[in-house]
Amino acid sequence: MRKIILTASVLLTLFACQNADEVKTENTTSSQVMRRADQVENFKKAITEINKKQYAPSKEYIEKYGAELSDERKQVLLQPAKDLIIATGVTEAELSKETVNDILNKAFKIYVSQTAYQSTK
Amino acid sequence: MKKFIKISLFLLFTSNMFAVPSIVNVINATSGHTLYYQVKLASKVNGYNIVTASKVTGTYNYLTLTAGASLSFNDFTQLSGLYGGGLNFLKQTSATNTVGASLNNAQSHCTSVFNSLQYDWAGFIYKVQNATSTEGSWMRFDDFATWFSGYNEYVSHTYTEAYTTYTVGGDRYFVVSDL
Repeated sequence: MRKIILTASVLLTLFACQNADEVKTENTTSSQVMRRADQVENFKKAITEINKKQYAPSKEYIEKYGAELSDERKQVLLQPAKDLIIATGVTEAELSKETVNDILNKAFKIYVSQTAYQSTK
Repeated sequence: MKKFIKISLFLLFTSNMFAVPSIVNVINATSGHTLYYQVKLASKVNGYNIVTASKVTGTYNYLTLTAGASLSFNDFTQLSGLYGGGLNFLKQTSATNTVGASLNNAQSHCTSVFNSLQYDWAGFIYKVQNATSTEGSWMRFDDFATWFSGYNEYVSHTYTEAYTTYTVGGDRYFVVSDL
């Protein structure tokens, strides 16, 4: 009888631990998803910000650099871009090795994947 | 060593041979406006040929992108796949001559083997959701400024949306957002 009670207690404890782990994993995953959604929204705000007329490139800038996004506009996008990439699990240390252009293009890629067009055909 | 040189030369040749245009990203960052657009691929040598992709959507001959949605592609096959096929292609060979083209023909310009024909995404014809005219506005990337007139920054007729084209490194972006 004592053996049965002992076995049942061990099984019950194991089951409880497993459930706690599952709940913890689910909470972590859902908080990561929520965090990423927030960063997508922040990046969208930055995209909207640089579309404002005050950031429109001058004629001289266009003559010199063509369609390349100005440094001023890149700086507006940079921090939200970093935050978005970090929200996908990339570390700041890894990100520090990247160029500004690479960071921005990576962030846009994540943004596009998160807002991907669904064709109705 | 000889083998290595041969393989390197082969890879170098084939990578140039199958060079494709830049990645282009179309981003509709508005909260409530469908984007209507046509996308244009053109030769950077003299502006022609120009290949335009569109799709009959209701009464308009435009590709549509719903509010908040985005997409990326770097050739016509990918673009066609995103819209489930059925795209229309027009090829403008000169200022006065425009002919219809198949997807395969349009795609061949993305994978041109001729060094003299370097194609890239030149720009877009677009219209705002509420515009009654079927005629859109022309927006281009600035490396095509020599060949095409048009805006690269534009605030829409309704003053509620802003349109922009830009590049970041080699990647191209056409973005519409709320003001």
